[in-house]
Amino acid sequence: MSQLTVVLEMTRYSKYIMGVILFGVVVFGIINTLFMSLYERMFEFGVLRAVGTRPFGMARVILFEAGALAIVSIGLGTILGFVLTGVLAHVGIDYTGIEMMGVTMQEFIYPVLEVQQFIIYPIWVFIFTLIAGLYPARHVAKMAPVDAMRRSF
Amino acid sequence: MEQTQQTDVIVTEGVTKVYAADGIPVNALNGVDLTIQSGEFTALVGPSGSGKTTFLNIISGLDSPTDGKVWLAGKVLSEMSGNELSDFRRDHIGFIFQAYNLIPVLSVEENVEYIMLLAGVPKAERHDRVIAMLTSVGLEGVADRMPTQLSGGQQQRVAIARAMVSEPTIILADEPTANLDSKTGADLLEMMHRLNAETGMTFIFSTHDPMVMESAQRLITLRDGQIDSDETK
Repeated sequence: MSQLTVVLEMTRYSKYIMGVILFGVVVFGIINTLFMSLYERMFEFGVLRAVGTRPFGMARVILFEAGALAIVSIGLGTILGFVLTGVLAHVGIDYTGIEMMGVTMQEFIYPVLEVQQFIIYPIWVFIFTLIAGLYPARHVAKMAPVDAMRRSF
Repeated sequence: MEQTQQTDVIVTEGVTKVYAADGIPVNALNGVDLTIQSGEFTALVGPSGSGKTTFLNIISGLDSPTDGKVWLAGKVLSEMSGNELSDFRRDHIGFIFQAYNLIPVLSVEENVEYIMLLAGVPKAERHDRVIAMLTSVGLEGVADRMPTQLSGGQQQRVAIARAMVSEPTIILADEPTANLDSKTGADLLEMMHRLNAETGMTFIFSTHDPMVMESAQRLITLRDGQIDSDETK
């Protein structure tokens, strides 16, 4: 039983490590997506700055886009996660015969749907996405309009 | 110089711009001193690389000079913060670009009203002013269209409407007729002359187009970043 406790403890820690790695990948993915979308529209951003949009006004556009990206991603991810976990909670995952830390699994593992997972993680994803959006937002706010218009030619 | 005269809308003093091209300094402008008065219809001419566009960028606050000062409507541009400069451009300068530079995802009406939206003009007033301005440039009934559904001449008319709708002090146009056929260019030039006469706005063009040079009241020739000649007709 103590070995099983160790296995469960290990699983908990590996879940945290996986979470950190996944969030890291997500943050870099978001920064990359926002920068790609920013560079595609650099000329338009330059025009908007030229005709009088304030630097913070431009940064706000990028932050709104990051927020919208987060909301859509959270919506799709939540639905997908709910359906997949729901199916696996019904049919189970076959771990029989798999050994871990000297413990051999004898039965199927059935994931459990927890409401908390569908609240806490989406909030974290939303906050991380906005934080990730700060760097491209700062970049667009600092950009000189003449450089933005020149760069896109 | 402490203050410009009331009719001096643009004053430049020793404006110099040096770019670093591959680490080698290139003087785009060499100490340009110029005064432009309100209501003028001025053309900046000169060969490519003479500094026309750089000069327009600097007097509009889109770029900053390496040395020298620019007064626009009595304010020193280099002394303004980023927000002040943005608000100043919004309120005092209308831009007409060679490639029209309309925002492709916005309709004609949204493109024209954008500056008024920034200035906090109420929706109903924005709509009325956009329709009146589009009518003034001969574009009735296109407010809901997207820029890509219009011809080059029509897009440039929208750009002129966008530049003029907020009634700025000065209109800066960078080669406005370069992408247009001669008839469309002549029509637009005539329209800008009419608007200049009606509103008293100051128009400054950079151009290679002989037709624009012919119609300008004042012709400033730039060469190697310096004023080569300055003729008033």
